[in-house]
Amino acid sequence: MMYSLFFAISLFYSLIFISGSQSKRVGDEMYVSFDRARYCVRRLNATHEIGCQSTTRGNSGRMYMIENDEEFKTYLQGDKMIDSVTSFIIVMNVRLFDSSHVDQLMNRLQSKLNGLLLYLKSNSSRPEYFSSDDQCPNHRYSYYLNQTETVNWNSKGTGLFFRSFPFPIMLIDEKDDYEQLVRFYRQFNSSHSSPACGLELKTFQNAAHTSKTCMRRNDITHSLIDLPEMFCDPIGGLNIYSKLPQMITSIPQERQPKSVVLILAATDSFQMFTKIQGSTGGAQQPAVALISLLTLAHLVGQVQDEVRKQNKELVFLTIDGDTLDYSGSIKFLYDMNRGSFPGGNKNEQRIKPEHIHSIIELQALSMTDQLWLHSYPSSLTNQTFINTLVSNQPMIKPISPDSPLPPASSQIFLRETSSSLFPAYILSSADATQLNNPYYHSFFDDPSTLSIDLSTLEYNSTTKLSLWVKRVVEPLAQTLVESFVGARVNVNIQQEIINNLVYCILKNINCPLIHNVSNQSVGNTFVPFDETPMPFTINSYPTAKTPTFPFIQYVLSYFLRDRSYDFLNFTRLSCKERASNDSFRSYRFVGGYLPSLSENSSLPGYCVRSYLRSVQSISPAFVIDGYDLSQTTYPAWTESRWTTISLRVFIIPTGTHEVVTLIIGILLFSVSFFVLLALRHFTKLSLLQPSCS
Amino acid sequence: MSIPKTRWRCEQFHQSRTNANNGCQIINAQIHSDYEESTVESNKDNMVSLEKKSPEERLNICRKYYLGGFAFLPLLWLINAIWFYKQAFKVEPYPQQAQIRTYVIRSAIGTLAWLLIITIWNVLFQVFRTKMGPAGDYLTFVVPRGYY
Repeated sequence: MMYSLFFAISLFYSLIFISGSQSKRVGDEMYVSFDRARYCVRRLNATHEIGCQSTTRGNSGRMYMIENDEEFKTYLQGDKMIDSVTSFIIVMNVRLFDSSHVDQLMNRLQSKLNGLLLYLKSNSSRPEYFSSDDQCPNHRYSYYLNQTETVNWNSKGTGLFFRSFPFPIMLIDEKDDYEQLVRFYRQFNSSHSSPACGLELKTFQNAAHTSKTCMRRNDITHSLIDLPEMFCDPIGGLNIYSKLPQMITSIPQERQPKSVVLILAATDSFQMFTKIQGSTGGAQQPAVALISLLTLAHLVGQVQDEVRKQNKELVFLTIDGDTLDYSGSIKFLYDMNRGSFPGGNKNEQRIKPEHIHSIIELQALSMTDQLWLHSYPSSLTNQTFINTLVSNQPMIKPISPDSPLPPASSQIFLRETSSSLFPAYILSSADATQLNNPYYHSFFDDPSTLSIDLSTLEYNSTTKLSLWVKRVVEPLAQTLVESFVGARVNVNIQQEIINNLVYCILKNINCPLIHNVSNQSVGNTFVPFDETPMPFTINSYPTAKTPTFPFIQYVLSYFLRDRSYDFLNFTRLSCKERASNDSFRSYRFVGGYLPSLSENSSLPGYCVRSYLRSVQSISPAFVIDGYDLSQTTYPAWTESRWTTISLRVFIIPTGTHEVVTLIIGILLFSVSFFVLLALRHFTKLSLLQPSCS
Repeated sequence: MSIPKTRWRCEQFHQSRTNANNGCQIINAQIHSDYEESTVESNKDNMVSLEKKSPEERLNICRKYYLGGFAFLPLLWLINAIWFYKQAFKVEPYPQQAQIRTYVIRSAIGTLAWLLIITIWNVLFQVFRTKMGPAGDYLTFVVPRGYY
């Protein structure tokens, strides 16, 4: 009775103590983690693997901070320091991230270099140039056009993106993360004997070796119930094309040769250091080109009645996946040669290379005072077109034909047709020798390089960029319509439309523009992406939940819509019914985008009649049956899968601390033995007696 | 668990009887034999003692293990060789010992052969897994993540 009362009271009190205390895990007290770090992942192609890899449990080591070149040299010469420590994580200023510094570190430290953490002190202290792409981008295999000379378009490129590192590399770009790290470092790394800071970088990637191995392992499973574990995904997104819906050549009409003008822009970029929530770069390439393409589409849509009278089709095309060996363009031409462009409807007359009149590409547009028009080959280029364009917009300067072309999708179009069928024109800020983009293919390529302050950018604000786009695209549209279609029209676009496009693409993709041009009845697919800009990263197949493609699909098809429908009163149901009669075009019921509509039409809702096709843009290597992925006929880029990414700081105890901990542990261990022996000797509890069965 | 109980019983008996010594000694003797019996019994519960078996039974067991090992079960051969080693070579001869001896020798040879096969295959697989190309991956049960 007494015992049970005592037991009940002690239980009651212990429950109070447990509920009153704030229990913490020991692990949480030991580490401080940085969640907003950027990381480098592993990608594979037909022959190599590139990127970084860590161990499953993370790479850890003693932290050493290097701020500038002097400290770098001091560190490399400090033999005593390097020999006394087994593994290092070097924390380096991002300005020092180039091949010479990394090579020196790797040679000096060999296997002791367990990871690299780069930091950006603050947004105002960006390096003047930062590009991890090659000096001559997209020039690795024979996919490029066979040009006479190799030009270093990206002269400040380090090429580190295409190297394979056996250790993880991460980057912190937030100012308070950096300050916290520096505080820890100064506090603990004052001398040798005191405890030092250690870092743990965990970026374990599943894929290894080459795309062929990795894709093969995707399908291996020995279990009857589990799904196979995924190792990597092929790179690719969607190639989207649209044109005026009234101009459809259906069988048995004959398509005239040289009757299609392709206007194209890219939709992807890459960065060596990615982050789930954060700026993905890609502002100068391809965001501005994409904005210009959509503006051009709207202008063509405005003058569609004139354009329709001629027999030339203007097809607007966005290509995804060109940053790595032009996978998107190669797939597009593969489709075209096999007779599946335009796809979707068997009764539509196919477009083959002989039907193409010319290609106009918008590429690498920065807000420069001069633009350059590259063209190739000189035998097919229309000099009148070039002259008209230059006279309409003196900002544009022609480059002598047959000069080397900058890295652009047109190279593939020309190569696949041996440059003998149609000319290509590239409108770019790149002059004859340089891409004028100091942050080409890096996450620093954000709207601040276009003089846009994102914090004050509103849906309707007119920025220098939007004025620039209007100044460039209106003459281009005028020249286009004049030269190719033969109609003299005056083209003017409302500034508001360009402002809205700039806002949506560079700041917040969940904007009123997309709500007004998309079919709201299927739900708003853009709400999860509120307050995020359009991401310009490498997309992988199956197409991830990126809002890029739905946005382009809706906006491009709306801008090129049949404007006669703006004045017709439809209900949602009657609009859908139209779709059943017409298999070439798509019909959807939308709220209507005011700046695009003329003043005469004001209806509660509009039926949009448009032409839109989207095709997977993964490389033909993954589409062809039985293709050996180790061949280099087609690019075969894949991106690895990964699960957790973490960056943690902890304290490495000094040598004496570790020895003391070990001795205490051994002492406790032996003491526990003695205690138990004593208990067994002095009590008669049968629990402590050895059993005989 | 029987030992503590009998000891306790002995002490209680010792307290309540005057000619306790005698009684206790008897019980002590009983305890001893009890222990042995229980040991023997418990041995019988857990393990087969070959001494208790007749020679025919021993031969039977040996043969069963020998034949069972042919079903790709080298461990049976290993057990056979170790367990019956004493019976085959160290105990005084009895009629079945010759047959048991052949079984033990053959089991030992079989075990060595299997050991050789398994070791060679293990080394070959580890060295050539990556050089075999697709075959290496298809033979691997747990495909490695993150390295080739």
